[in-house]
Order: sequence, then structure tokens, then C-alpha cells
Amino acid sequence: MFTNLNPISCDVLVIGAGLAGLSAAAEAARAGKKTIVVSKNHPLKSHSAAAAGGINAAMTPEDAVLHCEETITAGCGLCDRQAVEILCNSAADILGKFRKYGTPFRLNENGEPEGRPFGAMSTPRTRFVGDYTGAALMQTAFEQAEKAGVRFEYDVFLTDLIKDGSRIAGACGIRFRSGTAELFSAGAVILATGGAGALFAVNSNGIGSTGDGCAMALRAGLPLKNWELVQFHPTGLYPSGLLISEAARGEGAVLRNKEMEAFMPRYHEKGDLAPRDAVTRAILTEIKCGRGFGRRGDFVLLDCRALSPERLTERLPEICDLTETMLHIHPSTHLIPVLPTAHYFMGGVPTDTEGHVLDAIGFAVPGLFAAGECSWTGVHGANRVGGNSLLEATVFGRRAGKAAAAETVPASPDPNEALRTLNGRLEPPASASEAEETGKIPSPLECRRELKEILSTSCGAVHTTIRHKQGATRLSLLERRFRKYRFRLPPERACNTELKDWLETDNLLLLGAALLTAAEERSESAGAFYREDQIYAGGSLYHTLTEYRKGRFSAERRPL
Amino acid sequence: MIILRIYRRDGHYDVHQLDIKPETKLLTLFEQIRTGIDPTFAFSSGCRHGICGSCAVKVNGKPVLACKTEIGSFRSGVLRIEPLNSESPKIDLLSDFDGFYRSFSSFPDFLEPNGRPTKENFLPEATRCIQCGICYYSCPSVSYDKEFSGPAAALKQDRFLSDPADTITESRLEEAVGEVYRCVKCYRCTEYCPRSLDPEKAIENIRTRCLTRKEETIGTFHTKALFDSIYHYGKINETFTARYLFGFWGSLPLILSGLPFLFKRRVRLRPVKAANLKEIRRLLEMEND
Repeated sequence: MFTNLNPISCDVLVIGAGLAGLSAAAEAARAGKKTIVVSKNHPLKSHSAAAAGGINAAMTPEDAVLHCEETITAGCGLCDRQAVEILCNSAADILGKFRKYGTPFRLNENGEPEGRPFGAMSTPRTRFVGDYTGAALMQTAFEQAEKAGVRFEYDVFLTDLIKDGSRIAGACGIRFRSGTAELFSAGAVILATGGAGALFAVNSNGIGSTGDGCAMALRAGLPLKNWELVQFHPTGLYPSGLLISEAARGEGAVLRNKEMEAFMPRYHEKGDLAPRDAVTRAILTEIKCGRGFGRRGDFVLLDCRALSPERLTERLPEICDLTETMLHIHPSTHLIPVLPTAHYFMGGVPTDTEGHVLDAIGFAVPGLFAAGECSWTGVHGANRVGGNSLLEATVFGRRAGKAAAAETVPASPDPNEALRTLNGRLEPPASASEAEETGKIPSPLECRRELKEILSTSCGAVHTTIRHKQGATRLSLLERRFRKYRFRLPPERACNTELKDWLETDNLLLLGAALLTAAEERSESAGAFYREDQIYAGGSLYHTLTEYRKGRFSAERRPL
Repeated sequence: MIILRIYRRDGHYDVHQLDIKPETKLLTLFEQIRTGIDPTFAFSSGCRHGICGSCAVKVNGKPVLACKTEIGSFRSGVLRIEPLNSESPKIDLLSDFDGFYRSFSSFPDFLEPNGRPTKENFLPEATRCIQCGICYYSCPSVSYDKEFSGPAAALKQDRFLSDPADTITESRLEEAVGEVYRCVKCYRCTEYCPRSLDPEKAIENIRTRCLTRKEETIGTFHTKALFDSIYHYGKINETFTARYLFGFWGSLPLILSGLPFLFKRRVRLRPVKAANLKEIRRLLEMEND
């Protein structure tokens, strides 16, 4: 158990150092605030760097209107129009800023960033740097944040938000390298911790995408909005689910089933560039109808042979690299085996357009902001358009940074309370001492593997109430076994991987249970959320709000 | 059958004997060990497909990314796995990367733009760098010369130097002159880079740029002395280069150490010109064009 906390104070505390976090931090630091970015990895190792295809940006006002309409159409009616308008109208400006500071976008003959066609879009407006756009944007964002004077504290795992009265006044956690407890007190806290892709067995996310910020918010009594809306990317590499970017289909690749038929035109007028939810469901249907490949018939093929080898190496080098390292095939000669993979959480901590986090009643929580994948801003609705996530991270990251810098209030959280919270997390519950069950107690990662298996079967791309119920039962049994885990190393030990894994798995269990609760509440299909047992199709539209209070989850509907 | 010897925190090696498919990735194996055998086994990983650069380790002394390396790709059936940075305090496969991250702060690590973004495609190699630290921690110059910022930083620096939109080229070069001549050209960075980038080429580019500056430093001077020596004599002439580098008076103390060479007939007083001097000159002139 920890006996003392190392206090660090700042004006703006940014949790998470992905693209949203860096954008927010740079903006806050430029406003003259002392800004610290705390992340569990080095900023350049964040998962934003794995975003491949590009960033959507309409260069003309007419195209911005079209971008806005297409985003709302793809979002299946669950978008917030005001937020989408802000998103689409700020895109050209954001792109100009990145270009100015050196992101080497691919340019067309007029010297303007070239657009690449992407799913659900009628004009090619996804601007790109090869197929490593995220990495290129991250480099520029990191350089600019450093230049603005942001302080970086990496290898720090934050566990809980700390309040000062009703205000969020900081966060406490553990410095991984030294094994010391830290308390960051801040005038404003920005959550930018990304999604929780690690909840699923087949996912395109990094190992660290464990939704720590969303779990922190849940524990602090704040709701998650539309948490059940998880996007499954149609093309994950078989069998791991690593991302094959939509850029491949944007450049002209097609999906084929067992009969080598390009099946997408049968399902959607836009063919292979249909919205992601449509492509994912089409692939699942093909597989279900026995037209999948492989011994178990559980994948389809992505055919890039129409692209010349030069075009492939020039525009999709990462895909070539990925298939070559993982499967020893080259896309110009072989077809790539793909299957739908958990990709993006459309839901998250509800925020308004300035990044203020909203509580269950809809009031702004003082001192807390959120941006990026961990937040719900309303721009993605029930189905995100490819290329909008990088845009959302930068646009709303900057807005949250600006708002947070303007609203910092000197705060002094109680270190004793923080210490109690932190130690409370690590303490085994009282019942754990009673050896009522003698089953094997799984290690944190074994637990995580089982959790992934449970959620993939009960809460994957296709939902039914029966599966939700089964999942919830299995999850509660798993959680009971998980709580009995005894650490082999004391928590103060330097580089305590065991503790970090345990804390992450703890967050994932919480988020997994929230996911099941939220999914059960949504009784009709909407966008990426597909229910097999719905009573009427195209029913009323609503948001869901999931809360965690006194150890119980509750979900309720909210009108749009 | 593969035998793994993995470095653990108190300095001993854990031995695992595994019957496993040779195409299994090293990272998968690490995850299996942490999941099923020892939850305290520390290593870092991120994206699982070689784009974040978190999982660099040394296998039998060779630095690799664990997520992209197959177990069967080594000739030996015994794999000794160690953390990348062997000089810092190490805990299992984790080592301290602060030195590497700091190496980027030896120069302004951002573009100082002129406000006019380029109209032509400019795709620097550095954009593909994932900052895994492999080049830095396998560089022999870095390990003994703490003032050298290393290959990855040079790659980044070259990126800014060759960017037409950058406005502080001169001050960047001023910084770079003290750096790039610390490289000993062993080409390890280029050989080991998991992204097939060429930091060595970047260092070469910066050196070429340094030659175009008016102000001369020991590095550029040395290059010029060697060039002129070859231009005049067709080969490297020590007497000539010494006089070029240190001046007549400056090279007098060198005569003392040169005398024994003279007696052993290792150095000639009268410089000998190469027989095919004209061809050599033509070559050099061609290169200069």
C-alpha cells in the first residue's frame, strides 16, 4: 500500500497523449497556462499514430455542407447537427495549420492536398500522407506541443479523478518507472484517453487502448453516452484483426467471397465504399451464408490486384509492410484475408461542443473536459465515417484545450482522500479472504483474455438479448474470480507490470459491464449497432446513458 | 524446439523451453509468458504491427522489434533476449529510453515555417520513423560520445533541413556541424532500422550541406583537405593534409612524431603523385558536377 503521494500541480492537466490530447495541450499552453500531459506511454507511441487512411477535410464551403450532410446520413440520425457543422467547417483551417507546420500531405498538381475517396463520401476529400497519416499528424502535433512549452509526464498510469468539492481538481495514479504514487492537481482536467478496443478479442486497437479515461469518469459518478455503439471495421487482417485501412478500398481494392464474386454491389449502391456498418454486415452475411474462405469459412478476401505495384508502394506502403510481415504475402499478387474487427467507440463521456463534460442531467461538470475517442461529441452518430476521427480529435481537442485554459480555477484536492482512493483500488474486498471457491485464480491477462472472449460472443457486431444476459452472468462470475487475485509483487515495486495489467483489466471489466448494460437498453438497430431480435425496425431514435453508482449499473434512454 | 533465455530484473536469465511454431512472433510469445507463466514479466508493447516502436529488444545481440520478428528467423535455436539499452538500469525487457527521447531536443525539433506551404510533393523519410530507438542504442558513436545526438535525430534534422518551407536552415546547420562528424559510418543504423529507413544517408546529406557553408569547421576542413590532397596527388598525402589542417607552424609539432615514420620510409618527403592522376581528377570533377 502507498503511504505518501508525490504532489505535482499545474493549470491544465491533459490525460492521454494521442492526437486529441496533444492538440488540447498545445492550445492550453499557447494560452499561457502551465500544462502537463500525462500518459501511460510515450506520446509518439499513442494509438493515434496507427490511424492510417487520412483526415477528412472539405476545402470549399460547398463541399463542407456536403461533408456535413454525408456525415449525418451515415450517422443514422444519431448525430448532433451543431457539432457536425463545427467539425466540417473547421476542417480546412485545421488542415492548413498542419500543412503550415510541416505535415507532408500528398499534393495534387495544383499544390493542394489530394483527396482520396473514402466510405460513405461522394467526393474524394480524405487528405492523406501515404497510409500513415496518423503518425505524420502525431509528429507535427507533438512538435508543436513541445514548442508551446507543454510538459510531458509519460509512463504514469492515472487511476482516479480527484474532486475538490463538486469540482474535478486533478487525478492520482502511479508512476510506472519508479512505482511511486502521484497526485496531479489541476485547475482543469482534460480526458483524452481514447477508446477501449481491448475489450474485444479481434480488434484493431493497440494493447494500451483500455479506455482508462472512460472508466475514471464512470467511477467518478459520471455517465457514458451511447457506449454500446461500437464500430466494427470491415477489413481487419485475419486472424488478429490488425487494421487494413479503408484507404485500400478507397484506392480501388474490392472485397471478394468464396466464389470470387465482388459481393458489395449486391448490398449497397456505393459498393465497396459503402458506410462501414453496411460493409461489416455484408461481410458477416456472406460468412453466415457459407461464402467465407478458410477451413471454418470465417473470412473474406480483399483484392488489391487492380492496383499497380508502384501505386501500392507509393500510397499504401503500410498495408504492404503489414501483410508481408504477418502473412508473407504481397497485396499486388495475393488477396488479403480480412474479417470485421472492433475499431472505434462512437460513444463515451458526453461533452458539449466546447469539450465540457456533461453529467446525467446535462449540466457541465466543473473542471472536467474531454476530447477524442473517449468523448461523445455527437459527430459520429451511430456510425463513424472513415477519416472523421482524426478530424474530431484535432478540432474538438483544440476546442477543449481553449475552453479549459479559459476556465482554470486554482484547486487544492485533498491528498489524503486521493491516497485513500488509490489504496482502495488495490485493496482486496473483504469477502476475498473467505476461500469459498477454490477454482484457479486467473492472472490479470488471463482474465482479460476471458473478458475479450465473453464480450466478443455476447456483445460483438450482432446483438441479441439472450447473448447479453449470458454475457452479463459470465462477466459477473469472472469479476468475482478477478477480485481474488493476490499480487506477487508489492505495488510500490518499480516497473510493476502486474499491477498495471491488473488496473487496466479492472477498467476493462467495468467498461465491459457498462457495454452490456447499455447494449441491453438499446432495443432497436441503429447504424453500427445491429440487433437480430429487434421488434420493429427503424424505431424511435434515442441516446442511451449508462451510469455506475454504488456498484450497480443502470442505463436509461434520452431523447435526441 | 526453441530455447529462450530472457533477461530478468535481478540479472539472471529465465530459461523457457518451448515447442512452438517457428512463425510465431516474439511479442506473441512474450504475451503468452505474461499471461500464463509469470504475470510480473515486464516488457512494453503497443500497436502489435510495427508502427508504434514500443517493443524493441535485443535478440542474440541484434536489435529487433518483437512484434515483427518471427522466432524461426534466427539461425540459432537458443535466443538470448535482452532489453535494448544495455547501459541503463534494466527491469526485465524494459530499459530507460530517456536518453533517446532527449536526443531530439539537441536542435529545434519543429518546423519554423515561412507561412507558404510548399506546392510540390515533399515526403521526407523521417515521417516514417517510429522512434523505436533501435538505431540510437545500436550506434557505437552514441555509446561512447555523449555529445552525439544519434542517427534518429540526424534523420529528423535532415527532414527539416531539406524542407523548403523551413526558415532557420542556417542556425540548424550551425548546430549540425558539431554533430554529424561524430558519426563513424558503421552503417549499423541503416542495417538495423525496422522501417528500412536510411539515417546514414541523412547524415551524409547534412555533411554535404555543411560543406556549402562559408564558415569552416574542423569537419568540413578535414573533408576539404582530403579532397584537395586527392585532387593534387591522386592519393591521401599526410604531409599535405597536416599542413592544410594545422598550417605550417601548427604542423611543426607533428614533424616530431613524423620523423620515425620518415626513417622507416613510411612517409616520403617528396610527395608521390598517382600514375593515373588525370583520370582521378576527371572522376572528382564529374562527382562535383
